[in-house]
Amino acid sequence: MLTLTGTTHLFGGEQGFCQRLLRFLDRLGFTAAIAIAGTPGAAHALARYSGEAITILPSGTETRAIANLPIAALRLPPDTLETAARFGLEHIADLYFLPRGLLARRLGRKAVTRLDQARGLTDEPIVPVVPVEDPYVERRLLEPITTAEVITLVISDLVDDLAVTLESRGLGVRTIVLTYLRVDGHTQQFRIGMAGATRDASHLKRMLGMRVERVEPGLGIEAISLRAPRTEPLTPATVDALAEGPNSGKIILLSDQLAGRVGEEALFRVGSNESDVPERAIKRIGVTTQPVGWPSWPRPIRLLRPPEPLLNVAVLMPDHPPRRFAWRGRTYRVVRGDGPERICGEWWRTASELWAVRDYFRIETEEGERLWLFRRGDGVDTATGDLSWYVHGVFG
Amino acid sequence: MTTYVELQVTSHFSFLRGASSPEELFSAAKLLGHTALGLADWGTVGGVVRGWDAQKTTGVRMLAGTRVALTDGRSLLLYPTDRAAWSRITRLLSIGKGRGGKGCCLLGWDDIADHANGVIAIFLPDVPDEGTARALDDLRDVFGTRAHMALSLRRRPDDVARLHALDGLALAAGVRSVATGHVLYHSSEARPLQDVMTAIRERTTIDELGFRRERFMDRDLKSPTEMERRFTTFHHAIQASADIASECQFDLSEIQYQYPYEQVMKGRTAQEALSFLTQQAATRMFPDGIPLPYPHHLRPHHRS
Repeated sequence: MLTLTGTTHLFGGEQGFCQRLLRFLDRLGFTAAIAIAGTPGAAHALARYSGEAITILPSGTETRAIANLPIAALRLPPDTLETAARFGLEHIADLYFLPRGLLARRLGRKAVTRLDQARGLTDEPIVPVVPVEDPYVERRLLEPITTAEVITLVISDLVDDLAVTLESRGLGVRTIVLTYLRVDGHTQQFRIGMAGATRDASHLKRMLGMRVERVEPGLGIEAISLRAPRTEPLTPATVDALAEGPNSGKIILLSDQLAGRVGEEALFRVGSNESDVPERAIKRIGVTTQPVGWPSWPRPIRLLRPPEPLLNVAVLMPDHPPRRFAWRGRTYRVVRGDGPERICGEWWRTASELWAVRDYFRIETEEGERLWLFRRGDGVDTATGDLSWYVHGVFG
Repeated sequence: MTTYVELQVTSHFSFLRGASSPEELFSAAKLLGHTALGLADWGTVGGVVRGWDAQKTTGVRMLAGTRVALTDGRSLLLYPTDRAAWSRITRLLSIGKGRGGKGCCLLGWDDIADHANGVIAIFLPDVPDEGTARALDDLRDVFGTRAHMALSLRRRPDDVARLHALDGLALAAGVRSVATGHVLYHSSEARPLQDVMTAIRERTTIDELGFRRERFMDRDLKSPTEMERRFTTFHHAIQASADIASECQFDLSEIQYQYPYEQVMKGRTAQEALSFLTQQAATRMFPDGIPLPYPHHLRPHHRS
């Protein structure tokens, strides 16, 4: 399928163009038929079913011109053609007189669209075929080279050029072919495969550099070329200034892939929120954001939500950790404790927090469990809490 | 009979830090059973007059002092033992304010050392580390037996361990530990007000304040009995607070109004000296004779 709009006068008109093309194909051994029409659908139909070598159709006469052609000329799938045959529909003209709704029900929407496209009632955009060339770079040298150092230098230049080409086309190479042309006319080829698509120049140079020793320069090499016969799309990667270490780029790649699968919202990192109330001390931040501002105070590895109440607490008031308590049906004996760490309610958030106070204690039990307990209230003023005890967290 | 004397009290004369007036603090102190209270505001002695009034009303003796933050990060409480030491402290503050301008006090360790005579110093340590040990050595070298280090509970993790470590450092350096309550308000009910003041100081809203809030809790004034219970294991630090109070015998009533000495020229009264200098300057300004409109202004001003 060719679009000829505005070009045929260069070849002696439409008739002349078709004759030249047929002669050209004849020389190559092909027997061809050409149709020029106002719509791709009509041209397709006439070229295949008109029985003439050259059909040139004035624009706007498609409906009449294809009327007597078989329905198969309409680029329909085989099962639709079978159905049409069962209904006794043979020629395209047979379809003209059927109600469109009925036609769509019997033969499918596709048939209606194809018919309209052929008659010029619906636009049919032509998707152009763009020729794709393998990324290719080469260097022809003024003087033949023989030493490994110079060859490495030339390869390095070639890789840089190739990387630019790849980047501009959004590609990464999977296979790369290095060709040396020697002054005596012989060529040497090396083919290198990559585990994953890449256009990392330093990586490619390393891979190619390992092959330099195997070159036999003979009297000298006068040209070196690099071709990438196998490429894959490679989207640009963001370089993260915050992340450090050799794997940072891979982490970003991984997080991108994970986010693509589970959703942007489901992937997060835990960061510090500037609040002393443990429930509010963390927030979700972006995966690539570095959390900052963690307070240096020890905090349990695991926070219970909600805090679980303690029973049968034996304690010396007001600022000692409990000596004994029951939690989840077990009785614990405290051997060590630190506290209280006093955390006041954030009175600007809710009225109930105005005077609320929690006294936190880090304790260690006889069996070695380390827990984070708190008591509601400061142990002196009843407005600060009812002196009930809870476990809020478990240290590692 | 209790021995503890609270020596680290910040009133609202520490602008946007303390949340209570000296009157509120002294009333609360009276009700809690204190016999004396040390008033030490940040870089100022501005609160002592109101504190002195409160002393007369409540009968709780005021120890007039100040709190200075040095440019190297160290903080000290300074208390005068006598009037001469009081003068040194106020002169020190004048120097600091002269450098720092309004609301700012720029002082270095050398300034402190120059004004240390007769002054009791209480160093306010953060964590027991090498910096603290160095500061304690400096303190002992300059203040000798008048060097102290504050021990106060912050209600933060590892509080007691921190106090024991600090007490050990002080002992090693030959500096006495003294228990203090680092008081910011007279009653825990003033805590929200204090948060608001911090927000104003930091030029932000209470929601945005975050960790710029007061990081240490429990800043209300406690009774001497409660403080002695909390510092049972540091009895020497309680005793030190009483010893400081008994050493600080300076009372604000010792300061009478004194008309500053007038610098006059020899053989002339102040008025004659002024006339003489004016005439001299006028002659220098107008060598060809004083213009007509001026002689009127140059006539001697009479003191009313």
